[in-house]
Amino acid sequence: MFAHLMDNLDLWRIGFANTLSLTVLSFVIGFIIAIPVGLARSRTGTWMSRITYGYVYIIRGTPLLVQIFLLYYGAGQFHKALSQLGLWWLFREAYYCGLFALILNTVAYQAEIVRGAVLAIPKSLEEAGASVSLSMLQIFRFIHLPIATARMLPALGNEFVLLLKASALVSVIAVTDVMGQARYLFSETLDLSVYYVAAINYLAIVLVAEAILRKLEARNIWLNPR
Amino acid sequence: MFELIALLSFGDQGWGDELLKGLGVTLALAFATVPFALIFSFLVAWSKEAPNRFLRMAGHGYTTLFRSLPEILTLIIIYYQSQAILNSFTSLFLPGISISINPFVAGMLALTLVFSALGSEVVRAAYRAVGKGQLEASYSVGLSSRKAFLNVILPQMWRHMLPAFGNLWLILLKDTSLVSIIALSDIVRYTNMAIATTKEPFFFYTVLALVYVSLSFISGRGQMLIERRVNRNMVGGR
Amino acid sequence: MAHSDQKTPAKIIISISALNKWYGDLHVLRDIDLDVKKGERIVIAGPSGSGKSTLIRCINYLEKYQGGKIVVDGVELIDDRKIIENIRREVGMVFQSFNLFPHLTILENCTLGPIQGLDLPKEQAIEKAMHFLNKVNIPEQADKYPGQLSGGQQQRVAIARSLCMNPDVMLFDEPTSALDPEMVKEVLDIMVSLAKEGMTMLCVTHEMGFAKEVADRVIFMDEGQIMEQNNPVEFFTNPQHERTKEFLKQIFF
Repeated sequence: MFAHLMDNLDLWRIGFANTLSLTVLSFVIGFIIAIPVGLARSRTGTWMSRITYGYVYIIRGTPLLVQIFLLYYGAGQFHKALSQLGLWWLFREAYYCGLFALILNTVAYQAEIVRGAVLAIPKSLEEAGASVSLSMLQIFRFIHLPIATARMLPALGNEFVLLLKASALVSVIAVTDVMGQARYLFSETLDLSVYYVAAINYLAIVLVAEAILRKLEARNIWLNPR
Repeated sequence: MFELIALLSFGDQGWGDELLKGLGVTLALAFATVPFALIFSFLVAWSKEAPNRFLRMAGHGYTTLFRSLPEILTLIIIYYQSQAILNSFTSLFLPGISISINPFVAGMLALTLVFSALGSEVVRAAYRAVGKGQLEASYSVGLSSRKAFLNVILPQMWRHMLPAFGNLWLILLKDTSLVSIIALSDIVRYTNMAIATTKEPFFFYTVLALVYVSLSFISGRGQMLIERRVNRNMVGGR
Repeated sequence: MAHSDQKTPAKIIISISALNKWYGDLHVLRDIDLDVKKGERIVIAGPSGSGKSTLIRCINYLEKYQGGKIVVDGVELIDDRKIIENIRREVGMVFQSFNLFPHLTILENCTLGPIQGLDLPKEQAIEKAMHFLNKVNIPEQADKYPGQLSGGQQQRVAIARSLCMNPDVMLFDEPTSALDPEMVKEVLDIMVSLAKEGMTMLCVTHEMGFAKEVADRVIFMDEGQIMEQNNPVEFFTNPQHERTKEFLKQIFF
């Protein structure tokens, strides 16, 4: 097992870097997009809310595997049109296509998290902020943002782990992430242990991520006083 | 447009019958997994609440492990590893005979592990939500702890577990798509075959996505009906 | 007797004239006229739904209104961000449900407004906050979070938070009605001592003992109107309006 590992250290290194960058990039970009989407979702009754609801419903109702296939192979049929739009690079390169799919996917889930946090902030705190003469911007910055962030933290941590696991699916379009390298090495060596090495990679990332999350959550003692 | 729809017809020209067969496998796998997944969820939850320290550690380790590993990795490891174990078994006791593992069974096993890692947390939360008072009240009317659990606690737990289990069912339904990677002929695999012949990936994957969205929709409706039924007799009272 | 009588002529700090407000078809404030002199202590009473909370919430523009005008310290309240923020700086507010910021410590609750709203340097804001936390008798809780305090303590912090803004007027919106009975007194004591120091106060409350002890004027509202107003002695012993008599009967059995 370790002989394989040492022989292919570079492959594993690339795999690890790709898995980590896919997960972190899609998580961060997804979060930035999820903020307006989640805000739109929380304004019930508006057409923005209906459109974003439809988006969330479709993404959450289909397997990520199908979403990746649809983006990667489906886009191939529109090669010409996409080239003219200057977007072909996004769909031709498996890494970008996988990243794109992960972002589209996580936006739907993170938007629900944002929506939940927004709906959980009581309006009375806005009034309290106003009564001590804070401007709307200051109310957002000193009251809404910290409370919403603290409330979102556990769910966001969970979503990060889910996204990490989901990122393994990009190996089906031949991205060289941890899973992709494991599948490649297995096809070369037929040695099952490569999959256990992959498992250790994922487990390690999850354990580190959860340790960081606990550190961050410990800063919000106000959420669970007494 | 008409040529595309014709691709979905039944019979020699269309892929409708194949896709339907695949859908049957997808649903069979999901439904076959549920009972095992539920039993495992309860077992793991029980081990996490057990007085024995090692049982508790094992329970938590189980959840951490299968919550952290990508489902596709769990599936592949289960598939190949059980095949490897079976091979060494047959070569030892039944030389000359080779038995290959059924991908359906491997899929069931992997999905059970994944589902129960999360399901055990659902069970635990429900157990806590019912509350210690109910257990004490059961003891006070002379029930054994086994009878107290079966007759008092468990019936009340369903109400708390249903929403989360509904969610897990949707995850399970979507995760069945992964078995196409270990060569089980579910709807995704038939779709891929159709695409290999017709070269219409966009159309077929869109149809596939719509099938899954419909399954989600039906599941959501079904869940609503079940929840309404379960909650019907639960007005007021704790 | 009343504090405002000592200086003549007392300056009018809040002037409300012909105030009208609707919620959709519901006419919640009808032609309200009210002048508040500097240093005056006013208690507003009335059945629930009479518009008394809405009235004082209009004064710092937490509620919009559709007719009439409000002038605070010579400045007319209009829908202008700068003017509203300025008036809120002069008018402190204590809410029924405290509305402390749950994610900030007691001290930070008191310094957020002065630092961000009044641009006070941090050290000065802290000094001031500690001064007022002393005044409401909970300096030792400064580093705790609101969730760790009892309701009475939280409401006292809310009063200190308002005082840190150096308000000219304090509005109290049923400050004791969300409290357990044993905590009402600790909050009322603070309000009484504030009143004795000459703070201009408008209190919506059912605490008639408080009204008798400190109010210069008691106002009775019903169905969005001011039905009757008088000094507390007259108000309680010789109510004029039928509605007032009924209300007082219900309060005192």
